[in-house]
Amino acid sequence: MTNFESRFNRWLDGSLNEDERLAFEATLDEETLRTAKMWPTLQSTLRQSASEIPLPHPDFLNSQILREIRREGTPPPRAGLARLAWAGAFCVLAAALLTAIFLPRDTRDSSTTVVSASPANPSVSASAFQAAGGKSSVIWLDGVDHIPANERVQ
Amino acid sequence: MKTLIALALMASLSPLAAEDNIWAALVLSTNENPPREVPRKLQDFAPTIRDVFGYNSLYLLGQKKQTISAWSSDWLVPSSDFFFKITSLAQESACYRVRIELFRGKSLLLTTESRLARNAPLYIRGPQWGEGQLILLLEVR
Amino acid sequence: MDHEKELLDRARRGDTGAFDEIITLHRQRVYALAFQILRNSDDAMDVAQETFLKAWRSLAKFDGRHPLGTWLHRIATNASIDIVRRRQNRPQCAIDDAELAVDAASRTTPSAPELPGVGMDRRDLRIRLDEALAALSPEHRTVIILREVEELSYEEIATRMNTSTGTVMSRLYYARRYLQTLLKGTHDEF
Repeated sequence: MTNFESRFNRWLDGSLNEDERLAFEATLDEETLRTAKMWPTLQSTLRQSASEIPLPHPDFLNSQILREIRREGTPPPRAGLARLAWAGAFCVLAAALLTAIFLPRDTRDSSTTVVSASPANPSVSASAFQAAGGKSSVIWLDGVDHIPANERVQ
Repeated sequence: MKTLIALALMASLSPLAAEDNIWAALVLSTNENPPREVPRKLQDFAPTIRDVFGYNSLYLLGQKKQTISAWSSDWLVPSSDFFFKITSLAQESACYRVRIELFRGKSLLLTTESRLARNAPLYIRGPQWGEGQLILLLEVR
Repeated sequence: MDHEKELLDRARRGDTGAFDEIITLHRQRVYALAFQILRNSDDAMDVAQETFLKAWRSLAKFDGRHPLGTWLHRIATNASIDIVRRRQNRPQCAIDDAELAVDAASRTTPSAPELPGVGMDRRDLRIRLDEALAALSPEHRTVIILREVEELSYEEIATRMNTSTGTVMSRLYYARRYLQTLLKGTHDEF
């Protein structure tokens, strides 16, 4: 399957041959072509940013890891579960507080927003975001089966 | 008489009219050189589709409009392949809070709870079809 | 590399001092990778700890065909993705606020600078890039990090994220277009 999105990625990565590249670029607008030329700059900025993210308390990290290694015989405490429990409790409290503060609520909101989005198929994911200056919303589904061109859609 | 005048005033002040409609459309978007002329009914949506999804040509495959009101539940069928069940949960001051179920044929694809404001569309990225992208549009008018 | 090989050999024999040095050599990049995906310092620290502990336990299985850093990053990526999945499976807070209930990426798409044609310097780009990454959903952010920073192939990304190559392409397409809007209105040279 070589749909537009796949070709766009391969084009940006320089993986198309010359004929494919020319044919693909003929379908693109000037702004897309121009910003693509600067893509290596954005890539290098991204990589540089990654190398400069500060690690808080680096020596403490080492000591924690080594302490666990020395206690290998004893399973480390399931800190993850405790954090989840606290996160859940915080959620309930936050919900109660926000409900008390914001209800009754008169939003007078003139924009469309997505409160929740759940795909039926677990292999499909949904992301929601606002567009058009915040007035409209988009639900972006990933993983929905591609429909072949020779299959009728009406 | 005074009651009637009062009711008329209240209706005129409400941001959502008694006869609001919800419109849905199934759109195929592609990239073509030169770009295809945008169908008149899709002109308002073309800039966002171009910016968000990256396509410059649109085909309107189907559309449907019907009334929406608080606590209504109905099917909205812009196409025989892709259609919605819209349940209006609440009518807030400037929008409808709705549960939207998107179906493809007999299969449920997505359930979403959204606040739909007038003239503020919801775009749903559907599957790719051939080399194009199916996009579903929903808008209260 | 020879020094690292020596440390590895000593660590395999149970030398925790040697492993301590290995941690010091790789901890910043492991943490940075996790932080870029998760955008949360506590979670990233958890991933960093988990990564090195798993590495210690699996040292015998590390065959040295790839650099040690690559192996550690694979462990860190998997651990980060596990956290992303766990977050998705948590019950949603039942609050009547659209912005908090929507899972990530609930920001507007970035618009071009108000003065198109005015140049953006590298520092501005880094700030805007950081904001844009934070605004992406975890899935979109993960594919962009794995592709652009870790330089994995599409197929490798699909395997790591337990999804199809088609979905990787779709997410990468969206994330790249999203980030490209940062470049609108800028000069060609920084």
